[in-house]
This record gives sequence, structure tokens and C-alpha cells, in this order.
Amino acid sequence: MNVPLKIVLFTLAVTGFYTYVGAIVPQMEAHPPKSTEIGADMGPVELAATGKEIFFGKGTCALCHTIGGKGERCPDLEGIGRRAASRIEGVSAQEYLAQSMYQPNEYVVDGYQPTMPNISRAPIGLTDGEIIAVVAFLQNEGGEITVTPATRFEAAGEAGSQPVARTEGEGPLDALAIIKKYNCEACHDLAGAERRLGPPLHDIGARQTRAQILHSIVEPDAEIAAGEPPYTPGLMSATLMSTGFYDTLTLPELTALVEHLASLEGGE
Amino acid sequence: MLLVAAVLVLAGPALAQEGGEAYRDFPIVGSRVAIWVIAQLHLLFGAFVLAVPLFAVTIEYMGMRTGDQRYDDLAHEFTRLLTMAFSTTAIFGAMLLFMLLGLYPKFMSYLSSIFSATFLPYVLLFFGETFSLYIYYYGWGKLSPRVHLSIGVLLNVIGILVMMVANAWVTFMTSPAGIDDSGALVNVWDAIANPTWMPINIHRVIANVAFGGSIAGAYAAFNFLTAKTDEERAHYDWMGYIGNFVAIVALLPLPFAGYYLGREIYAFNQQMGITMMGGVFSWLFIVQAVLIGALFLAANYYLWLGMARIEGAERFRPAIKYLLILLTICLMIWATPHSMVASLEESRKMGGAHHPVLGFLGVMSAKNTAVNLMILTTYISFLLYRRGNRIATVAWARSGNIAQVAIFVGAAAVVIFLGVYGYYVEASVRIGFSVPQVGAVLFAMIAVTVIDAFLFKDCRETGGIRWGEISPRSQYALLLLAISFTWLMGLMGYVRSGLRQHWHVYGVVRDTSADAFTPTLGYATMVVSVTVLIFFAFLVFIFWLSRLSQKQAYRAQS
Ligand code: HEC
Ligand code: HEC
Repeated sequence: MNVPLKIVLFTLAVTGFYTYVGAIVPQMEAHPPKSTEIGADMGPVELAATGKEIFFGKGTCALCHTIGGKGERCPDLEGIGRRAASRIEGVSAQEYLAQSMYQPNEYVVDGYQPTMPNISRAPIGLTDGEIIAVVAFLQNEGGEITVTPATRFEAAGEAGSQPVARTEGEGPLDALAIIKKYNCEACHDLAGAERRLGPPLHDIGARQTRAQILHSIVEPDAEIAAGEPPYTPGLMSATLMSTGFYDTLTLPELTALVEHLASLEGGE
Repeated sequence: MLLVAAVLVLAGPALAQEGGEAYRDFPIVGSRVAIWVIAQLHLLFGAFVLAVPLFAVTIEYMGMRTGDQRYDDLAHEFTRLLTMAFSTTAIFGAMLLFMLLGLYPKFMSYLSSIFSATFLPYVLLFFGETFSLYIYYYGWGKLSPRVHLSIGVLLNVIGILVMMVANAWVTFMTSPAGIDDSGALVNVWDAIANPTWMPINIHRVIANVAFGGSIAGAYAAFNFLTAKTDEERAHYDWMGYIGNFVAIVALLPLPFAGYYLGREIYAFNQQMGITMMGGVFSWLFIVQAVLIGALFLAANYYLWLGMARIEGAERFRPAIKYLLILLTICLMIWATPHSMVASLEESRKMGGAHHPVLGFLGVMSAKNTAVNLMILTTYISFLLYRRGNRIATVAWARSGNIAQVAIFVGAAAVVIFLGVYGYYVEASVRIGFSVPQVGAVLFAMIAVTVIDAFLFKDCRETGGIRWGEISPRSQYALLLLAISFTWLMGLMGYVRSGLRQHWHVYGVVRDTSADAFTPTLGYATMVVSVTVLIFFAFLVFIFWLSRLSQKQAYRAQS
């Protein structure tokens, strides 16, 4: 056989072999985590079950923690529901568990390094609701579930789960600032079609005219967006009212906001 | 070409801000794969372009010191490959930039907002690299040797600086620093000197040299196999030997640099470190182990075959069998998964992060031990090769040899003892063992080399090296080395980017595109393989061109 051909075949064979090795190992595709919605009517059992999923899924807790293991790198969490009440004097079990997620370095378990990240921040970024569910799951490990979907933790502080800086949905900067300031994204997905407490707005510009958008913002309760299960009426107006949105927003700001929403036409 | 690059770099931010889209789609293969392949090609050529001057200058310097014209010619030949590869690198670089701006405008505008201060220096450095390269190449034999060598050194310094700037952008994406909670820039120097910057700089320089050596070796192998005369064969055999030598010397410290990088990743974000070693990517390191094994085996195999052309090296043949067995055992241990779990769910079922049976051999302790022994073994191969045709004549030759053996045995004992002892102590203590293990190996290599230098100072030669009289199989070992290295670089590129998961900039800019998921290893290795084949196709073209230019010179002469 002529030499250059041999070399080409050799190269193909070696590359082929490595491709083959890559193909015979277990194949996993890792998808970005989805946020879980915590319904206001979830009971303790349901909450704990949801929390379990988050623990092993989006929360990535199981990357570090075991439940019923040796706890080599990070504390084993078996029986944590029982232990939690006596960790810090005067701090309830649920508050301790929440604190270990929101402010992991406030109390560092003996014998471990303070390497646990703030769970409410990026990159993990659990929502307040998701953290409630995880607390329920942990309390269920040897303790009693005391949290409900309405629980508000002290450890969450004012900031709570920080919105993450994103690139999507940019436009005139003041519109972005408004969205950030009033936390629209806590309830609306501006980047994708995810249902949060409110409908996704990534394609609002395609669905509604500027006038309709303006109306939805100024009088959210006048017409309730359709959804299955239905969206909670009054939620948006009450929230925005309490944060001073309607008192402080100026007309140019409102225009910019509507203009920005109208530019979101999905398809990203 | 250069101007296009410069204009793009400077105009980039402006371009990126036009229009409100975050992503645009690339036809057929999609944006991610398009960027992936182009970036990888840019990187491979870049690595070659950075590495070759490093050893071209070193070889030139050796030529200056020894007065041996062969070295100077070899350095010149390497540099000829360089000029073509350099333009190819630049073309891929410009394509990459152009495509990033077009396909990921939002992300690029964010990155520009952080790094705009580095763009102008980058362009200037790039020009500096171009000029010094051309002066270095065209000034060969025309400038005074000292001036010429200094330009070579300058070329290297600038080249490394260019790489470091680009590394800052890339490592920032993995371990962002110097920004506030909202992602806005606070301090550009902190963003540049982010936690993984230095480790990547070091890792890349070393890996580039190993890679460049292996590619030069492949070039020599190709020419050896297609050579028509014994003279040509002798020349390319020698060149291949040098290429392999460079590759091995750089390969030996590479695992250490890798561990340093891994440690920094753990320190930056433990979760990311665990994802890397125990999560989605755990299997990737098995594939990596297969590749590194192939590298070590190919390099050793080449040395052993090479002994055939050394008169007097027959003495050492029996030892080779044992080295081979040792290497294979180490390899098998190393290839055991750190944690065989396929998913978090499975991990929970097994009650821990380690597999009950396989996890035992797979823990760091065994791995460190195996890799350290592999390095020692390769070093012994090299040593045996070196003394193939030499017999020490100094009075203390015997005790010198005994001392060397004792050092090897001692180092191996330390490595194995700590490896075994590691199972009986806490993980936190065990991690500390890797330092004395590495220390023992480094000490052994340095001490033995020093003894060797004195031992063979005025040695008796039993015969010469018959360059060119090596089995053609050895040349395939060189090719294997080059292909494996290229493929390994591609694979590591995948994990380095993949570690960010669904983030463009980890924890700051989320990837909201359709490609936000991490593809399977099988898919990734396909992309890597295709990239590697494209790379070699280009490389063959460049080699062919470089030969062509030689031919003309030949005709003009005769
Ligand atoms: C990067 C590794 C890591 C991840 C991910 C992680 N943790 Fe932790 N966690 C630790 C470490 C280390 C400690 C011990 C130090 C400390 O107390 O901060 C700890 C402590 C805790 C404790 C206190 C345990 C005790 O015995 O008092 C709780 C509760 C906890 N983590 C829950 C979670 C939950 C729930 C998640 C997922 C949402 C999570 N952790 C994710 C590393 C991690
Ligand atoms: C506490 C949660 C919450 C917050 C915060 C919130 N909204 Fe809403 N929003 C809702 C809910 C629930 C609905 C659907 C019910 C309705 O139409 O009133 C809704 C509906 C809308 C609609 C109409 C969508 C449609 O498909 O018809 C628009 C537009 C809108 N919100 C904009 C905003 C903007 C802009 C902000 C920030 C300034 C914001 N919202 C903040 C909960 C919220």
C-alpha cells in the first residue's frame, strides 16, 4: 500500500478508536435546571416530595451531601431534621435549615470547611419557594415539617433570592432597571416560555399591542391573563402596589417599559 | 487579514449592540458546534504556533553553543512550518471572532463591556508577534546570531503574552472575578487575574510544548516514511527523535499542572470541581486516561524501538518487558473512574459519592500513585535510551549506579506507601499526600539526572547512533502521539467549556439558547474527532506547501 494512504488510514483508525471509546461510556446529557413552582395550597407531604426533587436536581445538594453516608467532604444529612433544632440556641429547626442555605457561613458545622455556597444566589439560584420545599424535605429527615408555602425566613433577609444578571431582554437601560427594581422576573419569564407566578412575557410583544401591554401593567386586574391552572387575580397589582411601583414610576419610565416589553417577540 | 482582525476587535462592541437578539442561528450544525469547531481549530493552530518558537529558539541556542550546524538547520526547518501555520491561526481567530459577534451578540457585548481595556493591547501584541516572527524567519542566517536569537526570545515572550490575554477572556467565563453582584465591571485586573487564569496559562504553555513537539514529530514521521534517500531518512529520524523528546519532557510535568488547575477549580467553586470529577464529566476522565495512556505507551514504545539503532543498547532489552508491565498496571488503575455514578439519583441509591467496589481504586490516592509511577517509568525508559551506547568509566560507576537505583526505589516506595496509607486517613489528610508524592518523583528525576551527568561525563561509547535505521513502526508511534495529543486537546476543550454548564459566564450570564444543555460525551467526541481530522487536513496542506518551497530552491540550485 502506498505510504500516504497508509498514514491517512492510520489517522482515521486512531480517531475512530477514540470516538468509539467516547461512545461506549455511559451517555448523559445535562439540561439546565427548571424552576419548580410552589403552589400556595401544597401540604407538608407534597412540599417535602417537591423538596426532595430539588435536593437531587436543581439544588445539586447531592453533589456534596449524602443522606445516610460517611459525610466525608460535607456533612451527612441523615437525621438533620432532628439535629437542626439544637444546632444554634434559640434558633428553630426551620430557621436553622433556611439559614444553612441562605447564609451557609453563619454557622459552620464542626470539622468541615465553609465551602457551601449561598443557595439562593447564582449559579444554583433556588427561589424562596424552592428553599421552603427543601427545608420541608430536610425536616422530614427525622423531624417534623413545620414550614408551609407561606413561610418567610429571617435568613432570607431583604434581598432574598437575587435576580441574576442576564443578557437577554436588554433594551433601553431604564426599562431593564425598572424590571430589576420591581422584580418582574420573579413572576414572569422574560427569556423563555416558563410559567412562573405569572405568565411568561418573552413573546408579549407578539401577542399584544402596546396599548394592551400598557393596560395590563396599569390595571392588571381589569383583565386576567388566561392560564391553566388560572393565574391568581390581584397578585400582581397587590405586589406592585406594595413596592411603590404605581406611586413612583414616571411616564417616560412607563413608556420605556412598555416599549421594551413590546420588543420581546419570543423566538429566542 | 490583520487589519480585518484589528477592525473587528475594535468595532466588536459596537456591532454586538446592534439589534436586540441574544442569539442567531448558524445553518445546519447550529451555532454551538460552529463556534466549537472553529475555536478548537484556532486553538490547535495557536498552540502549535506558540510552541514551535519555544523549542526552535532552544534548538538554535543549542546549535550556537555546540557549533553544530545541524541544530541550526533543524530550528530553521521548524520555523518554516511556523509562518504558514501562523496565518492559518490568524484566519481562524478572525473567523471565530466574527462568528461570535454574529451568533452570540448579547454575550459578546457583555464580554466586551468587561474586557474592552484589553483589546487594544491584544491587537498591538498581535502585531508585535507577527513582526518578530517574520524578522525571525526571514532574518535567518542574515542577522548576527545573537541578535537573531534575541528576536526569537522576544517572539516567545510576545507570543505567551498574547495567549495570556486571550486566556483571561476564556477563564473569566469559567471563574468570573472583578465584577459586582449584577455582573458589572469593578476591577479589570481582577477580571483578568481570575482564579483559573494562572493555572490555565501554565497548563497551556506546557501542553502547547508537548503538542508542538508531537506535531513536529508527526511531520518528521511523515517525511521519514515517504523519504527516498538514506540521508533524508537519517535527517527525519533525528528530527522525529527531537520532536518526541520535546513532547515527553513537556508531558512529564503536565499531570502536575493539571492537578494544580483542578485544585484551583475546586477552590473557586467546590460544586464545579465535583461536577468535573464526579458528575456529568466523570466518564470523560476515563476517556482522558485512555488517551494519556496511549501517549505514555507511544512515547515509551518509540524509545524502545529507537534503541535498535543504538549500538550497545541490546543490554537493556530485557528490562523493557518489566517496564511495559508496570506501565500497563498503572494505566489500568488510573483509568478506574473516580466515581462511577451516572447520576445524582444513582449516587443517592448507593448512599454516597463513591462506588462501593470500584470507588476504592478510583479515589485520588490510587490515581496519584499510578500517575506518579507512570512518570517514573517513562523517565527510566528515557534514561536507558540515553545510555544505550555509553559505558561509564568513572571510578565510582558502580556506586553511582547503585545510588541511582536506590533513589528510584526510594521514590517509588514513598509514592506507594503514601498511596496505600491514604486509605487509612481522612480525605482532608489524604489530599496533602499528593505533595510529597510529587516531591519524591521530582526529586528522583532531578537527583538521578545530576548523577547521570557526572557518571557519563567521560564515558566510553560502544558505538554510534545509526540515524535512519529505525523500524517504520516507530514512526507510527510518533503519529499516534500527535493524533492522541490533538484529540486530547479537543477533549479537554470540551470539558473546560462544559464545566460552565448552562452559563456563558458562570453564575453571571446564563445561557438561554437552545444549546444550553451539556451534550453527551459521545456527541462531544464526534465533534472532537471531526475537528481533529479537519486540523490534520489543514496541517498536511501546510506541510505540503513547505515542501514545495524547498523543492523550488533545490531546482534553482542545480
Ligand atoms: C459545594 C458543596 C455543597 C453543596 C452544593 C451544598 N452543600 Fe450543604 N454544606 C456543605 C458543607 C461543606 C457544609 C458544612 C459547612 C457548613 O456548615 O457550612 C454544609 C452544611 C449544610 C447543612 C448543615 C448541616 C448540619 O449538620 O448542620 C445543611 C442543612 C445543608 N448543608 C443543606 C444543603 C442543601 C439543602 C443543599 C442544596 C440546596 C446544599 N446543602 C448544597 C457543602 C455543600
Ligand atoms: C407577584 C407576582 C408579579 C409581579 C412582581 C409582576 N407580575 Fe405581572 N402578572 C402577574 C400575574 C399573576 C399575572 C396574570 C394575572 C393578570 O393578568 O393580572 C400578570 C400579568 C402581567 C401582564 C399581562 C400578561 C398577559 O399575558 O396578558 C403583563 C404585561 C405584566 N404582568 C407585566 C408585569 C411587569 C412589567 C412587572 C414588573 C414591573 C410585573 N408584571 C410584575 C404577577 C406579577
